[in-house]
Amino acid sequence: MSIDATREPVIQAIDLEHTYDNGFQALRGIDLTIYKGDYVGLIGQNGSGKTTMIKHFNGLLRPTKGKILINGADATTLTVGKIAKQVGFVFQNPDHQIFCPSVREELEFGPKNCGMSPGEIKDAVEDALESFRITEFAGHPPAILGFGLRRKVSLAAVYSCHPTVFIMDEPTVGLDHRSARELLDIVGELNRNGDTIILITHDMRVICENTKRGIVLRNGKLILDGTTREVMSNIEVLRQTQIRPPQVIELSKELSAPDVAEFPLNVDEFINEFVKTKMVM
Amino acid sequence: MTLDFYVKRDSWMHRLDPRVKLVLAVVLMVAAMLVRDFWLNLFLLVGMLLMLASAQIPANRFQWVFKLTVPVTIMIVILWPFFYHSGPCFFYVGPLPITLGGIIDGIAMSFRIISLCFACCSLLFATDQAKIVRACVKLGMPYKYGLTLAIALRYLPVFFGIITMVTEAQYARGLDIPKKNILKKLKSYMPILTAMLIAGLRNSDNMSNALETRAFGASVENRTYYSDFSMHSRDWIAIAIIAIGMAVFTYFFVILDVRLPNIFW
Repeated sequence: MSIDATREPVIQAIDLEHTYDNGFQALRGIDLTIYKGDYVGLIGQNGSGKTTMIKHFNGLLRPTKGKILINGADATTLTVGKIAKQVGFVFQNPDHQIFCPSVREELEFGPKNCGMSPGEIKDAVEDALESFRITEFAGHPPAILGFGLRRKVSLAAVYSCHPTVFIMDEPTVGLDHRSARELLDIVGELNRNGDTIILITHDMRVICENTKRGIVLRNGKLILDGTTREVMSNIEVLRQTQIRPPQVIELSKELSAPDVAEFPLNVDEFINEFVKTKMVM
Repeated sequence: MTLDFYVKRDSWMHRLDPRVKLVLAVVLMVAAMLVRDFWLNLFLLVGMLLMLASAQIPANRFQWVFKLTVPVTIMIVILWPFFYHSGPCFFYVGPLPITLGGIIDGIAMSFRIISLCFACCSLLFATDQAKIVRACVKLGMPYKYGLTLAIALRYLPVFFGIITMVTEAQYARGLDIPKKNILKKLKSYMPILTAMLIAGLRNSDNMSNALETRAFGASVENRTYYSDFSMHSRDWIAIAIIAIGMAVFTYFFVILDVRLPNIFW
């Protein structure tokens, strides 16, 4: 995807490389621009460099070559704490973040670190409790809540700092369908309000049903970057990375003419494309 | 630094019975604690390094022991001359003479610290953790304590991984650790320590459930073992060498208190 001059970049990776101390090169020259309002699904096999790359976006890792710009500023000139005000990172395991005696205090932790005033902290926490529908649990110790609620608390705790970019590592893992749907609806609302979302997941249905842009990594290189439809329809390239798109896409490809390049992303689109068309005929 | 100590090789040390290696580790630790002389401390340390080299343990797997002991050894070398005075005096710090003998003895004590660390670690580098536990159980330790030891050793790298993840998670929420004020620095570690403790407790709860669902504790008397070992002639020879070596060492350097020549002054 070439750089879009009409849109505001929030994160830019310029020839990004990262080699770990043991000599393993995890990233091999990534050029990537994330724009304000993007809803990105980041896909790749285990070991493809996804986690290494996103850790550069919030300063937890520094490039061994190349650059990372956060809202135009070189990330190496910013501390992780300063970047946290702009880029929120939700870890895969919520238990790695939770430590406070109540949900309310957990949500206050980030705003306090960000230097918000007491009034701003109160507003931010109330907003986070309401947005993530956990107001009734405000006084509860988060460590003893169920896993789905702990996941919501960890998300809300990052949201309360009011970053404009959210990076989420496998946010739906371990959640039942209803909880996952609820969480993704909230995340979708954040995106509709203008926040930028980067979602790492192995669940292709989540990518197809929620994200607008897909990025695929393999062996530390960026191999696909486009709209979710463009990326998911590129079945041959995805197969080379051992990634399988949802069955509805594979079925659409079999039912479509050879020159068709893009396919329905979900069952509803499939019905509109194939079933209703045939019924009309 | 990796906390997975065991280095898989096929050396003389790897082939020894784990019980013999346990005895060797204890004997080396006792020797390190008894030795005062500078040259003996140096010979003991060099001897242990040569032992590890002959066991094909690569230097990059044990060089962390030196890095870990550097702060302590520097502190000993600096402070020891204030408490032990012998030989020519370089200068005075108040009423306290700083002597060559004090400095040499301080260096000897620092060798002792490093030797003690290597004496413990030599067992772990050349012995699979499961076999260490099996050896302890064969020597009379109740199985559940042996398993506790094995889980503790097994989970050290996991726990350090959790510390890293928790630290990164809290940094990502804007946590800044102050560099200068010690009290503020300690206070700012509380989120990391609390999250780590909760993760550790949750882990131990899950682990105990997992153990019980796999019949742990079902049969204390009739518990069987998949891998077992017995003493061979090479193990008895090693025991004999260790015993003779310890006897000679104790007789000359502890009972008779033989000191090697002082060449420093």
